[in-house]
Amino acid sequence: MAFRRVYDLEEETSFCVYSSAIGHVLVEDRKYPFGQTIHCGPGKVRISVHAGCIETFPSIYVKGDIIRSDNTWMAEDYTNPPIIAGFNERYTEESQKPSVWEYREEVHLPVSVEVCEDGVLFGFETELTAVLEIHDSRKDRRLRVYCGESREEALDREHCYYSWAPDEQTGRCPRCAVRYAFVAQELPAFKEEKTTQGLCHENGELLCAGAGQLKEEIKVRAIHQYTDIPVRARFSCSDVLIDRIWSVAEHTFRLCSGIFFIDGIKRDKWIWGGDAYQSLFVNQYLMADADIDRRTLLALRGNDTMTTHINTILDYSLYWILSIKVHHEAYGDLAFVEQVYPKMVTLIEFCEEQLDEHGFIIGRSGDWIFIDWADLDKEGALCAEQMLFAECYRTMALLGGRIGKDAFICGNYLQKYETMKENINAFYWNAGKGAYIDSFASGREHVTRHANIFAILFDIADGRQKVQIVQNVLHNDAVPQITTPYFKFYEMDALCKMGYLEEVLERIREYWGGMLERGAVTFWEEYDPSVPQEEQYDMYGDKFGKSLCHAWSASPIYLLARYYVGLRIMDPVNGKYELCPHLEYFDSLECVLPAGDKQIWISWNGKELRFGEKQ
Amino acid sequence: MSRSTSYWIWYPGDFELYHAMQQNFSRVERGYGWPAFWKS
Repeated sequence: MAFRRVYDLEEETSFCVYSSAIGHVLVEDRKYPFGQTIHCGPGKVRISVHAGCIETFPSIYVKGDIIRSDNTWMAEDYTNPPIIAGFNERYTEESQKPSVWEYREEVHLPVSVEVCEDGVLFGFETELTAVLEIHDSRKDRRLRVYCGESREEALDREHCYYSWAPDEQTGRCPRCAVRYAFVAQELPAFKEEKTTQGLCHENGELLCAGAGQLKEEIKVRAIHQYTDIPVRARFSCSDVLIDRIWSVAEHTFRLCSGIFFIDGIKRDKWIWGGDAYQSLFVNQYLMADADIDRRTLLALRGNDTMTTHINTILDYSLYWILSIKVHHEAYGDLAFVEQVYPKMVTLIEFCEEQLDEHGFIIGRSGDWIFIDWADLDKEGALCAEQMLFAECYRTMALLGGRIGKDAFICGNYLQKYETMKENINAFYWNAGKGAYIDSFASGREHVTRHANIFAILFDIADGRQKVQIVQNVLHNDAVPQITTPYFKFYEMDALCKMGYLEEVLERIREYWGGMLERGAVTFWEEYDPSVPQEEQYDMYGDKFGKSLCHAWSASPIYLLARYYVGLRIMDPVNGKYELCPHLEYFDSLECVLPAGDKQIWISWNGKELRFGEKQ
Repeated sequence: MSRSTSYWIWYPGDFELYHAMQQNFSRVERGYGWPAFWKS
C-alpha cells in the first residue's frame, strides 16, 4: 500500500511517520525509516509512505506541525487509481492501534444470588455484553460458569450457549451475552451422590462443598463492554407501557450497536444486511450516529468484484442499496454516496445477471431467498424480491441525480423502475383477491402479508390497491400473522403510512408489551404469542436458539418518533425538518429527538403542544 | 475532521473489512467456533 501527498511548504518543517507495518517513508528520492523525525522544505515536497502488513491492514500515522495524516492523503493499492485515504474519528492518537477496537467498560454487580442444586445462580439487572470475573476464595478447585439470556438457559448446563472455565490467573471469562450466570464446581466424570455435606464420591470422599458454602466463597462481577455512542433522544409519556417499551427498545438497540450494527448479542453477533437496514431507521431517531451506518455499510458490501450476495442472501444485497438512501436522507452524507455509488452500480449489475425471461430477479441457483421466517411460496420469482429490486432502481436514479450522474444514466434507471413496477402489477396483482400473490409460477395464488406490505411502503400499489391490501390482507385474520419483530416493523410502518395510528399503538402495546409480560428485559428475535411459555426460547430447533436481544425488534423507537411525535427529517445538512405530531393518543408526552445536528424538543400536556430546538 | 489533528489512515474500507472479519469470527456456540466469511 502507498499513501501519498504533495506539500508546498513555505518554510522548513519536520514530521514523523508511525506504523506497525513493514515499510518506509520516501521524501522526494530519499528513504527514511518509520519513527524517525524527518526535516524537509521549504518548497514542493513529495511524500510517499509504503506500508505492508500480513497480520492486519496497513495503517500509518503522520505527526507534524504542518505535515499530518488525514483525508487529504491519497491511498493506492497498486491495482486501482489512487483514492482518498480512509480514516475514523476515533483514531487520532499515535499510541492507538487501528486494528484494536476500544470498548468502554462498566462494572455491574449481581442483583440476585440464589443457591440452585449444586451451584449458585447470579442474576444481573438486565442483559449485558460482559466479561464475567469470578473471585474464588479457595484456590484448590476448578469452577465452571454457565451463562444465559434467561434463567432457564443458565441453569441448563447441557443446552446453554456459553459456558466457560474462568482463567486461572484472572478469574475472567470471555466476553459474551449474559443476564444470568450459574457457577458450579467442575467435577471429574465419575459417579457421585449428594449428601448433606455436599457432593460425594461413591467411596464417601467429599468432592465439593454444598452450594450454600460455595455461595459464601465466590464473588462474581460483570464487566460490561460497550461502544460509546451517545443517545441523543429522550422520551417519556403518560402511557407507562409505551414508556417501558421505548426504554427496553433503547437498551436492546444500544447492546446491538458496537463497531457495527449486529443482529443480536448472543449466537450470531454477525453483520446482516437486512437487519442493518432496519437499524438505520432506529439510529436516525435515537443516536443519529452516521459513522456506525458507514462502518456497517462498508463492511457489508466488501470489495468489488461482487461474486456472491451480501450474506449470501438476495434480499440482503437489495437492502444494501436501499440503506444508502436511508442513510443519506438522515444525514445528507453526499461524500459517502459518492464513495459507494460505484459499488451500488456493480451490485445492481450483478443482480441484472440473475433475471428470468420477464425481467424478474430470481438469483442464482442455491442463492438464499429469505424475506422472512415465514411460509412464502418461493416457486419461481418471488414477488417481495421484485418490489425491493424495483425500489433499488428508483434509489439508483435518485442518488445518482444527487451526486450529478449523467441524466441519461439516471433516466435509464428510472425507466427500469417504471417497467419493473408495471410488470409486478401485471404478474402479481390478483384482482380477485385484491392482493399481491407471492408467486405466479406456482399457480397457487398464495397470499402473504410480506409483498403486500412492501407494495404500500414502496408505492408499487396505487391508492386504490393500497386500500384493498389493508382490507384483504393486513386486516384479514385468515392471512397468517407475522411472527418476527423484523417484519412486524414493516407491517407497522405500512399501517402508519395508511393512517392507522391508533391501531398500531395498540399493536405495539400487545406485541412488544407481550414480550415484557413474559419477562423480557430486551426485545427478542421472534415472538409468537401463541407459543406456550415453556417453549418461548426455542428457535431453529434449538431449546435456547432464539436470540433474546435482537436489534430488529427495536423498531417502536422509529415508529413512535416518526409517526406519533411526527418528526421527519427533510434536509439534515440545512437543519430542515417537518413536525406533524399525533399526540392525541397520549395524555402527556415529553420528547427530544435529533434532526441532523439539531435537537428538537416537543412537549404535550394533553391540551397544549409546545416545541422548539435545543442547541 | 479537524485540520489540526493527525488521523490514522488506511486504504478505504480496509478498517471496516478487518473488523467485520473479527466480528463475524466471534460467534461461539457451546464451545465451538462458528466463523462466517462473507466474501469480501
